[in-house]
Amino acid sequence: MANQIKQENFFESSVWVLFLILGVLEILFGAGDMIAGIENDPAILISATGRTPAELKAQDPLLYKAMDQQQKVIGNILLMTGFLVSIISLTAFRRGARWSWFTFWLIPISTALGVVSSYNSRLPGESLAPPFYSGLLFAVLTILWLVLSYRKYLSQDME
Amino acid sequence: MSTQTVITRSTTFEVCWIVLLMISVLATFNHIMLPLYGDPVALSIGWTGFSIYATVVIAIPFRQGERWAWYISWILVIGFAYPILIIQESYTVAYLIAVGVMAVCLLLTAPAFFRKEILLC
Repeated sequence: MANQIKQENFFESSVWVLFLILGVLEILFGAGDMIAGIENDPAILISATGRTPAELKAQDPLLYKAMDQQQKVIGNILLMTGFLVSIISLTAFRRGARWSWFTFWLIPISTALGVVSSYNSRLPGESLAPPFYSGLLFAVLTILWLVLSYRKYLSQDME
Repeated sequence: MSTQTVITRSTTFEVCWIVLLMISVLATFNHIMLPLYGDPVALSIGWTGFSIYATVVIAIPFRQGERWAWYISWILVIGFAYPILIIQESYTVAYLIAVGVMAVCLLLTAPAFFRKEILLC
């Protein structure tokens, strides 16, 4: 009974909302990439190749097609992962399932790896692509919320 | 007692669950190694993350008989089916086989999830 009346702090009560928002954002960005491919965010291509999508299409149509296809597959992965994250947030994570807390550590880990990858793929002299900044922000936010909500998921009462 | 413990685990359910779990685990390892085949790291990170989520969902809530886990597992089927539509490479045959096997397994496990309600009545 004690666990039913235990007060949750701000981070414990809002952590599932943060991950739900992240999941929905992944769905939206993923859908955009699936529809528009490499044209969805030209800044990513400019950062990696120094060329706009239109320039790349005119100069190297084969490379353009390959990168466009790749971006569409990345969009598909983002969309599907967004669905998984959203549903887990709304169900198991919201209820306090311990396994979901451990699983959600994948988000800061994968976003941090994405940030490093984005940094490394930048051409010298080009500005960093938007995913570098958004990934950094989400990595920090998710680490903060996961750490400060540990009590809800790791207490003896759960599971 | 939670409702998930009422799920009837037939041999079919057990076999299909193991097959689904094996496919998702193999997919995880395969996607980790994508950079070795010359694919971009970003693609590997995305696919690996997606495969790990799917593996965890199949390993825990699916096994426990959570109905939402059955529904969301179709995401794995759709996620593997999409590359087949846009990439014309020989390796997509493996995805096609995985998609078919996973779809059959999910359909075969459906009674275990949807019989639960009748048993509770």
